[in-house]
Amino acid sequence: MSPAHEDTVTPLLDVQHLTVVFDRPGSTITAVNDLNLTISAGETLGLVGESGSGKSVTALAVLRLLQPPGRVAAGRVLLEGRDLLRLSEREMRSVRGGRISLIFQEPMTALNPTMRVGDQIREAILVHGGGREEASRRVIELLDAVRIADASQRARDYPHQLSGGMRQRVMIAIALACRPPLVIADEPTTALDVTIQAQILEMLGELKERFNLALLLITHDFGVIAEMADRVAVMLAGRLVEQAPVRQILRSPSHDYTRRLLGAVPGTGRR
Amino acid sequence: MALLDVRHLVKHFRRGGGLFAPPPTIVRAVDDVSFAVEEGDMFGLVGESGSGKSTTGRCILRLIEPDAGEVLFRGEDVRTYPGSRMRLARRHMQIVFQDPYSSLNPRMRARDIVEEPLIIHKLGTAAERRARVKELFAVVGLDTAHLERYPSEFSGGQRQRIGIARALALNPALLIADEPVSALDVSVQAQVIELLLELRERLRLTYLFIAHDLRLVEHVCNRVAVMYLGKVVEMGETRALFRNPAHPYTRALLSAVPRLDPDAPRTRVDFEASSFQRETPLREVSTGHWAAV
Repeated sequence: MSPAHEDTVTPLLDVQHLTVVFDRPGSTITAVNDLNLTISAGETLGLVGESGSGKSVTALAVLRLLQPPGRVAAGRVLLEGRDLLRLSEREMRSVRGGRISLIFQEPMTALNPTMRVGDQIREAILVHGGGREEASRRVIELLDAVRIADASQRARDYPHQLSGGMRQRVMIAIALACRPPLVIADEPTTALDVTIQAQILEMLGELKERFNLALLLITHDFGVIAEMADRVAVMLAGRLVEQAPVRQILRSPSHDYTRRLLGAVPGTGRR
Repeated sequence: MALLDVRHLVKHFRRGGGLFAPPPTIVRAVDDVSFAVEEGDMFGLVGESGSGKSTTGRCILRLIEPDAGEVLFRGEDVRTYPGSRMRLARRHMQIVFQDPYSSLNPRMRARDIVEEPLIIHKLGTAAERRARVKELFAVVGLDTAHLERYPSEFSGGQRQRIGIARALALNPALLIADEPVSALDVSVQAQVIELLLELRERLRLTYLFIAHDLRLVEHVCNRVAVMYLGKVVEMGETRALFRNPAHPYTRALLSAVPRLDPDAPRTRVDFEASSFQRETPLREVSTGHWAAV
């Protein structure tokens, strides 16, 4: 359907003038204000901001997972040229997981505590079509891909039997189950110890290469940004204040807020 | 004489057990931990989750009763104190907790939270206490117009300032800061850290700074001890330890910290938990720099 040359023309994800509001009795709070961003195939865009800046709300809006009183008031979310905001809920279900998947911060609350992790991965594969035998093979393949040793054994574990880092690996396996071109990772390593974080980031980097994944990486940590991102978008109070390649952001940020955020990272300020 | 001298501190927890459960396992949360904090130190106690750093902090104040060891504060072992004497000793050793949301009583006004230690220790008249609370508000950079507010009316950073004001109410010599900024946004973190550093000068405070964030510890602490699975594996001047880590775990930990330079060469070192020799004693690898190697 889409000729190869179009890939260079159309970005994978093109968010245009996105505005998200929360309705309150008698007033409306604007959480995301006229936001524009694009991600190309295989690219990692780091979305940085402090709590309340609207970065997670942006992710939820892209996936149409906003809960009332939150709603998209304006804008378009084009994925491979299709406006997600105009799809039916049924069509949207095949986009979630199929074309875009989401990795959360807290793997314990995102996984089903009563299901074996292998079954949870299998479910993600089957929802989007595929035979049972193939699914079983894919479960093991995915657990191997996220470097869980002894995959067939671990597939029988329940989430509580796994460490935080292992659970996050399972989450990533689920996210990759349908080989989506875009993964949104919302603070994927914030809850983890630094040595585990390093392992997960390294693995994410490898998976990106291997599956040509585009990544929307939401984080407050400039260290994670420096390790992972190609480009960076900085959010403040619902607005994008700066968007630039990672080296430019880190070496010569143009917006005052970006400078302040970078200056607040320990060890960069006074030394 | 060190202000705080922790010697061979031990705290083990029993996990599991019970009628139909497999036999309990012993978790060696704090396992023969020794270190000394000199007056004026900003002493960092770093480690990952489960390293025992917070349990160590609590054992020092006897908020958790240690199983063995000595906690010498100004040369006296507070572990020998009876309850009443211990409460008195806590005037001089206070703690600031990680989570400014759960560590403040939501039904108390900010002024009452800060005043409470003064009441418990029966210090001053009502008028003197009121004046002291106002002074403390000013010291930590809170607006005295907000004295009557409840915790929910403050931001995270402001709540942490309330927690610090409460800890300072009794004029302590030692402040145990247990992850004091890890629940805060990075720009707010920087402000609270600035405050802690400023108070160190102004009130001649000594800190035991418990943290998992190595970048932060490198920035603020003059000395540091690295904990792993209940053991101090390395200890020394911050600069020396960060430049020349001697223990393989410290090396792995430092190599895992994300750098702000995307072009920095990355040489991540892994540490296998199975290779950990927990009985290896600390030895001095260079002057004042100790490692269990």
